Amino acid sequence: MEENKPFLVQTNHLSVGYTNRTSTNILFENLNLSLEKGKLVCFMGPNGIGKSTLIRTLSGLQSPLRGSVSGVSVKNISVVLTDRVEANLSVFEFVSFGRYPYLPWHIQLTDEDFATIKQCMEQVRISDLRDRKLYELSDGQIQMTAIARALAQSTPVLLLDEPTAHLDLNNRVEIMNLLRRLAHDSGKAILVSTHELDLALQTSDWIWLATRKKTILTGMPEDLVLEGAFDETFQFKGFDLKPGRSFTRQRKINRLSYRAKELPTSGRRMHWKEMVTPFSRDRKSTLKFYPKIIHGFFLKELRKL
Amino acid sequence: MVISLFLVDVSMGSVSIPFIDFIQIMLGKGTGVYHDIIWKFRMPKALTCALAGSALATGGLMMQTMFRNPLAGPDVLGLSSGSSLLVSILILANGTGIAIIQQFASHPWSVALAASLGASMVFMVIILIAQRVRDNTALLIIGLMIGAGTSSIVSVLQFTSQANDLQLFLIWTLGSVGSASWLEIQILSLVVFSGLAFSLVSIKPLNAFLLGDSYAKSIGVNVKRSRIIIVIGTSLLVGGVTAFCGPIAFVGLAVPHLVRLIVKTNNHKVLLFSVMAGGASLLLMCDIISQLPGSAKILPLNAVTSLVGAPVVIWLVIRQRKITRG
Repeated sequence: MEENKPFLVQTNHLSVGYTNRTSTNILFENLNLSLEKGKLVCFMGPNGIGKSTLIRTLSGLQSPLRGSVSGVSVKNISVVLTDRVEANLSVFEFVSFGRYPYLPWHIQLTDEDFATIKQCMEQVRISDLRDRKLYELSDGQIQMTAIARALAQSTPVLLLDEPTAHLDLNNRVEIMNLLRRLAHDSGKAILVSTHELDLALQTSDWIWLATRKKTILTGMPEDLVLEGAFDETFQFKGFDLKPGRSFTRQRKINRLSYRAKELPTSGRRMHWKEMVTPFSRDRKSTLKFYPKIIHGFFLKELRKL
Repeated sequence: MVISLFLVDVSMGSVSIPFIDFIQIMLGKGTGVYHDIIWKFRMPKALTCALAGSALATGGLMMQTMFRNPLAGPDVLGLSSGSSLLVSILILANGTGIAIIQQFASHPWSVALAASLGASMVFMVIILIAQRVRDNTALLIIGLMIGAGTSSIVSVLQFTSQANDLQLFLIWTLGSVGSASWLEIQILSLVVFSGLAFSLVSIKPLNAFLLGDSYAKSIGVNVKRSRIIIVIGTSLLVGGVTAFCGPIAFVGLAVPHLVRLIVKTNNHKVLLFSVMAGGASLLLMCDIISQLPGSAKILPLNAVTSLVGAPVVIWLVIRQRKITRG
């Protein structure tokens, strides 16, 4: 990372986790991380390793066990959480909640607020849903609306917790591409937690990889792949490395590696190249790196057999 | 709607007043017995109705939103039962011969005082707990338990008390808006308006609570503080009304649902005022029914609110299958 770029969020020897009366459950220790302007960072790691907890801590919803986070404020960081919103609100009303930090008690929206909300809805292409109720939307549309709400908060930093969970391939790709566009075009610092390895590797500028040693590895996607860091983290989980699904004829491996709930609803039979190329930023690099990941992954699986 | 119901409520009662006289009196002209009946008896009653209705409904709305639970209502936090407990001690223990209580009970203001005290006692306990407990569901359950506990004490007191006192207490629990004097109305409106002020201040956090505590916090709402403000507001509204009118059932629970059916949004900037108007209208309507127009008899208000309200809520639930949350 370049030294002179401003860090919008920075952690200083941060430890996160939960405490209750009897014990302390530390999930990550001694983290020194930062988020940079204009970069899309994918935060990867298996389920239950503490991705959500770290995001909650970075956004100030939860206090750190030790250490500190700089830049925690509602006007600096907005979040998209996994919480379901079940209120009887229209899309416009929901997005307008993003303006709350700037509104007085009587929540009267100014023309400026209206303009911001309109612009945010256009950015995520949900303008036509303006007056629909939240409960009428599909899961993908709800995620888009939630992202629009976070954008309406006009913060330089955007944290998203599993925005692609439970969505089909089209929606996942759309969301990741949208986030990438937002980071590069509007210069936001965006952190996305996900366990979609394939999408993350292609869209992100930087990867945070949660390890089982309560630390987080960071680096360029390609570097981490070449270092074999992913294999190490995910090998115990039978991780869902989706491009590998093209090798469906190797039935045994298939059954071993994928749990049913992680299978997407579409695209199962596509060849991995077909799945990868439409959204890869650079066909060359994709073709260069994917065989390596997949090759390494399957060699390991084969050895286990 | 509120105003027309208000006028209808004033015009009706156990003594029938000719329409022309009624108009004259309302315009400030008439005198005599009718004038006295209207200004000393019916006006205060109708005013109390409107105040109590909007107060209870607003209290109910705030609780339903805060707990994100459609079944929350002023009874649920145990505030009403807290009032009942102290009033029952006051009225029922009169016969036990403890001098201090006897002296206290003979004072006309004592019931109101006891009810407010009871509500605020429970409310203080709730605030203490609210600071410890993280989620709203736990708080809701605790409120229910406090309510159950206090009502069981009330039952024990009822069981051991004398018939006369029991009747007094029962009349209080049936709810009444007719006994208020102008002075009492001044105090009641002071309490209610300060409670409503708390609710207005809470529009923003109330809306934010619709998204859940985490989102609320992430858009800059101080969750703990706003929760306390909402509890204070609700206690003022419910405690004040219970003190002067007795525990009026159903209004706090049902009005927000009925209003949501009409207004079709959860945005509290719209909802709050609609609920205030809705609560006032509903209680005025119940009061009109309780006077049995055309006859000289009067039904207890609480019975009417439940009789009118319960079927409406059941119909709602069946029609919508589930009540919209928050």
